[in-house]
Amino acid sequence: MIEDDIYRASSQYRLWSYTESSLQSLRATTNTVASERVRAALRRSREQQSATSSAAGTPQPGSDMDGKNKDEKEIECLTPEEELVLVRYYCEKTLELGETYRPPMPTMARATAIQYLRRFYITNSPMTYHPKSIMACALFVATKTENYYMSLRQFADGIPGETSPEDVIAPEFLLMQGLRFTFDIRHPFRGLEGGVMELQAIADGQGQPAPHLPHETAEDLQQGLLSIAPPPTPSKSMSDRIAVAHGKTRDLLKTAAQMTDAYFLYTPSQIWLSAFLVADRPLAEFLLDVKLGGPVTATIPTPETDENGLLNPLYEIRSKLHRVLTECSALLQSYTPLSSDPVQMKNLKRIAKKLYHCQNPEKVNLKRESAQAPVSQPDSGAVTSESESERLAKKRKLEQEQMARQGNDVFGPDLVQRTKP
Amino acid sequence: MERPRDFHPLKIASSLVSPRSFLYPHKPGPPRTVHKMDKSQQPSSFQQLEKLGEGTYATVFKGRNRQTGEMVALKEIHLDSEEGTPSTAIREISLMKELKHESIVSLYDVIHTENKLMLVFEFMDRDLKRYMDTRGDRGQLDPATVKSFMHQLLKGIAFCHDNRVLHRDLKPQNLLINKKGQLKLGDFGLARAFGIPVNTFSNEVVTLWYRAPDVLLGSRTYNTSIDIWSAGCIMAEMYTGRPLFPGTTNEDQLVKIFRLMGTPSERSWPGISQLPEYKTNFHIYATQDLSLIIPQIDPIGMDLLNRMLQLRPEMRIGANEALQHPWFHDLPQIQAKLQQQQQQQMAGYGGMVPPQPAY
Repeated sequence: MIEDDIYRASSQYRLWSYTESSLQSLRATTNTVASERVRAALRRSREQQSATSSAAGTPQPGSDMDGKNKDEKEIECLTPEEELVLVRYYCEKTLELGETYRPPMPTMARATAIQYLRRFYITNSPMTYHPKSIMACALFVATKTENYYMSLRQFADGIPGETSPEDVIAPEFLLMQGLRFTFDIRHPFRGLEGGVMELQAIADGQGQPAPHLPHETAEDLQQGLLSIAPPPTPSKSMSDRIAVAHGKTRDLLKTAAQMTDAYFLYTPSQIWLSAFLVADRPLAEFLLDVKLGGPVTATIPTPETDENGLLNPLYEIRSKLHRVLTECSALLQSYTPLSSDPVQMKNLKRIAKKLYHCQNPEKVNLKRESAQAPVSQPDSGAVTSESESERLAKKRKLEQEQMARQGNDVFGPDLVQRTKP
Repeated sequence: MERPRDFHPLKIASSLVSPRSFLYPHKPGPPRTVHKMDKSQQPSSFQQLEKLGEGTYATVFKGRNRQTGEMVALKEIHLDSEEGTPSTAIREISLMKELKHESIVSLYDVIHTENKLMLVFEFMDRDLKRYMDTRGDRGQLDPATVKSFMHQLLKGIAFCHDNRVLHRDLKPQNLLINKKGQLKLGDFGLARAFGIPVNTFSNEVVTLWYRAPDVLLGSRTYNTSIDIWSAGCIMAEMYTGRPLFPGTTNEDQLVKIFRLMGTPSERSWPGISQLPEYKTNFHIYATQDLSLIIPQIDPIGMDLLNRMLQLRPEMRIGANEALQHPWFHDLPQIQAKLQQQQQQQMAGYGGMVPPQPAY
């Protein structure tokens, strides 16, 4: 099996890869369905209220209708864009939460948790399930899938504020279902390590030529590497340069790659190569040339044509890859952390206020999770009706307890109060 | 290897196959339909039948799909109120969702009930241990069956390793057999993903008898080669009906291995003295001829077995390479023969075929 086949067999490729437009339309559908439900739920709760308040008096059907219509107009729901901003904020919070543990949680566990959140909110709306109640659970599940064992008690104790172990795992099944029971995330970190090791070997004069360029020797490769354009910031040696680029790329993969749609739109290799291009373009292009040949270096005259006048197929692949990597690099560079940008924070505050008025009252703090999973959820596992009522009764009790604790949730009820790690 | 052998493996196969140990024929059958469950399907659509086994975090039942009549295995996971869904269960689900292969047992669905999680697996008739006990001659399987099973086992292992997954707990109890003579890897509760840089793993894995010497010596940087060692032990056991190295403790396990394979030294295994459990006073054993212990095996098969049972992990053959071994060159003929003889037996014995014992 070649790497591409292995990746194509992964659930990440099969179930969680999209085009920009398909992703957008999925989110729009989720938003529409959730908005309708929020309006219906709010209507129901108003009806209930007015029923109890007017129970003693005479019901007035006509005015009731009018009131309902008026109310409905008032409910302004989040747009898909606003939902996305909110989710991104909680992805940043997940990164911070991982940092608060001693020792800090491994990057991989945090990145996995962020991807869980992003995947969950493709088919679930923050209006239905508030991200602050899902994020801790996502991180806890990630510690299980990434082999970073931590007891639930220890995990809950590490969360700033008062979050009980029960709070953490209450949405566990809901989350698992939203993830369609696929927990394996293919990250770009491993590919980066491999690429850096290869570059280091070339720098040390121990490079291996690509299979289609057998004439290249380790010395050719080493010479080629030493003659590339200088780095964005001067470095003492090639090893040093590689190390700097490695560090910068890792930072991008930990942040920009996590907070954008990169994982949904690109493969892990495309992501790390794009980040590497941002970190040190000449170095990244050298590596691509070694692997594929291409338009950039002099080692292969470009564009190569065969006896039939056709382009070297590798040249075509290289050009296509160039386009994809350029797109992905632009996506990564478009990212600025929300919390360090006053304009974005102002916008977030507005969205948080708006959400306060359009949070589905029937689902606040994980009400009735799996049983009423949104219809837009494509492959949600089957849910039993066996003892469903019993289960719901239990849930409701849990919810009441949670309501009582509301305000002490993960990062406090006010979105904008930043918790410094 | 030293013993002169003038017969061809095919000839042994045809002369040694015992009528009791035929596989069921591979019928072409209807095209395999992808098992896709309607999401509204309730677990009550499975009729829960007898218990098949009990594990540390799960109980396995036989089940019947009420709609299709299809048999399934229902693995019921006890939810731990202390920790939520056990991490072993989450890891197993995670791996099974990625590892879709004919030699790996299929996970059809995950179902949640009030306080437990149910994994719906493809039904397999029995595990290899039980298969050997019931179908073999005092546990011994005929060479044709051994070859067919080894090929399937190695295919499953190769697929795992290609996907950077170590099984870590291969043993006859975790290999499942169905009536079509298919062998599949099951129970990925202990499996885990690996990658570069090499992680350090706990050495508390793999049932003692099938545990590689490097793990027994305390190595924490083991890799795919540990599954190959287990496969070698299983191959020998299929021939003889008895575990090759039935150790009782870590130390006893090493002694049992060294007694047969010879005690390794810094000369035969550079770096061995650095391993945590290495003792300078290990009793020195000479290497024994494995074919004295496993007389049933042919020389080509013995060559493969020897490549799998290398003490030094780097020297062990890889799964993909093992699949290319000459021992498997006559596999198509062997499988055809197994099928043909099975059909003859069915015709000849008619209703005399002993009923399958309930799992």
